[in-house]
Amino acid sequence: MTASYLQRATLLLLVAIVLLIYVFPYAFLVSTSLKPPQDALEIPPTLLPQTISIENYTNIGQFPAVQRSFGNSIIIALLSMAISIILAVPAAYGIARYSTWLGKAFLMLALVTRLIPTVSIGIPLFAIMRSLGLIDTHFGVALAHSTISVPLAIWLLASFMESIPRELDEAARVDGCSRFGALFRVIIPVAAGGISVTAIFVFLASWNEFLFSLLLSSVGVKTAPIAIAEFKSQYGIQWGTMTSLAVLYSLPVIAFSLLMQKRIVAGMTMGAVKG
Amino acid sequence: MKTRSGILSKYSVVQRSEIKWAYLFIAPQMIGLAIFTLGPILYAGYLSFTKWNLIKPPQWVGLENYIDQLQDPTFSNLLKNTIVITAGYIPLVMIVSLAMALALNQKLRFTVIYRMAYFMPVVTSLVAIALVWRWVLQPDFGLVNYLLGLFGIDGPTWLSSTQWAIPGLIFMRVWWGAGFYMVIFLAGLQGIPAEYYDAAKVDGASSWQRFRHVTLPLLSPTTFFVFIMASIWTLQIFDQVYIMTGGGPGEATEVFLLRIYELAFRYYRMGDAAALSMILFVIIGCFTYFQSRYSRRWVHYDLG
Repeated sequence: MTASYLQRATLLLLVAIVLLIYVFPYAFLVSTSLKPPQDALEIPPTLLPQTISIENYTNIGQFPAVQRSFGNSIIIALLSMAISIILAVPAAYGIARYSTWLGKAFLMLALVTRLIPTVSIGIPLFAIMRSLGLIDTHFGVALAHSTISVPLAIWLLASFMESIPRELDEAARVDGCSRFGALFRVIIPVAAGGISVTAIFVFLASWNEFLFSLLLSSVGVKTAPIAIAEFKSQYGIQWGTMTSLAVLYSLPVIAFSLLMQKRIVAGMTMGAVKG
Repeated sequence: MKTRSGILSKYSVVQRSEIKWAYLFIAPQMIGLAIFTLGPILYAGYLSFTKWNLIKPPQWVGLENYIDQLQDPTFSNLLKNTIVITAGYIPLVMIVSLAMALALNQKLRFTVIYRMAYFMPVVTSLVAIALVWRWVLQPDFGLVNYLLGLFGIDGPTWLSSTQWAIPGLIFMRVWWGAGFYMVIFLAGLQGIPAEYYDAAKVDGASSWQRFRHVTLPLLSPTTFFVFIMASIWTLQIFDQVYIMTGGGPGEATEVFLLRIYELAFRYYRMGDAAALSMILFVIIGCFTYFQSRYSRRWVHYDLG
């Protein structure tokens, strides 16, 4: 018995060390953002702020372009969310309710397209968006983000809809609803929870996306990740302000993920274990 | 496999009209997929045979771009860097994430907290992570060199050293990606029926033997999935290099996607960029194909 206690203690110790390695960078980021700006550049840096200051956060006011980039990110993520949900809800319903050749082909395609280098799609997508006049517009970037998130949204939604009993939409049909009626009056209200989880997923995918935003936006609709990445070269080393931007930028993501941990894990392992 | 007409003939007329509804529901997004994903892939194929600078219309040049790219002196450097990063990263991330999954699969307390912590880098944007890692790997006061200093080791200059930039990127990538693969390994581990372990215990197998002869073979489909996905994503490494080193110092960390990006959006050589992305696509395709064939030797879908 003592041996297994010892094993267990070693295991716990190892897990704790790895935990520290994982939590430390986040803790350091938050701690640096709360130091007065001049302390942020101290050599060697201290782990905890000597004095707590929100100056790094108020300093963001000096960079209107960066502030605008957060606005752009929110608009683009909301647009991409709307596009994805509008397209994915009926498609997921079609796939979940009828096992057709088209549905199966789609699910396969959605997987295969994930294997193609994003940049290979990026170049022609840039050309297409350019001829449609959508370069450097919120809608264009949102559309590009939707190409990534729609397949994901369909995978997620189809699994939610499969769990809704068929009797429910059949009852609605008997009561004289059309197929569309059944979808809008019965299925969507019942699946509202699943749809909102998917919507948040899509929002976060767009919020974090880097490559398409880089290719398709220049001055006008630059998103937050691009603005933060370019911050150093544009404004010199303002370590303190950068950390406060990074905290503000990651906060919504971490908050949502904590709330939806189970769903996110389910979404990630989908296709991995079954396939 | 049933043919399409075979499926249709099985249903009554009413059900056949139902199937039309199904197509109607799926169609809008299929059109989207065709225009914005399949279309661009085919278009990229076409562009790779042309010279195009976005100003004049594309001009057909046949295989010239492919020959240019393969003969370009930077090509072997791209290939080498991409392969070194992938070959260094894959075994490390697989061992680390499997170890984490095995630990979390024991019934420890506070599992939710551990899982969330490992998982945070997966959901946080790379931009925020990169910021911290620039500090972690900073030569003079960074965390890694500080810790090495405690053992009397004079740490390298990491990202600004031609020799250590790639190892630095690999360590960061392991930290970043391990949580994701851990979640997948954990799901795979939880899918192994407990009876196998019970039977092995009755037969007197040690915990190492149970791991070697029950866990590893039954986990092999998951291991294979992790191996393939991690390889494909790492052969396409971009954001991380773009943000952390920009391909430098010199061309020490120049990788395929970075070069493609520069060709297309710095030099406006769209045709060359498309050709290089097709070359990478073929490399990834061949890699995946040969691994799937070879995998039959070590991937088991059941014991036996």
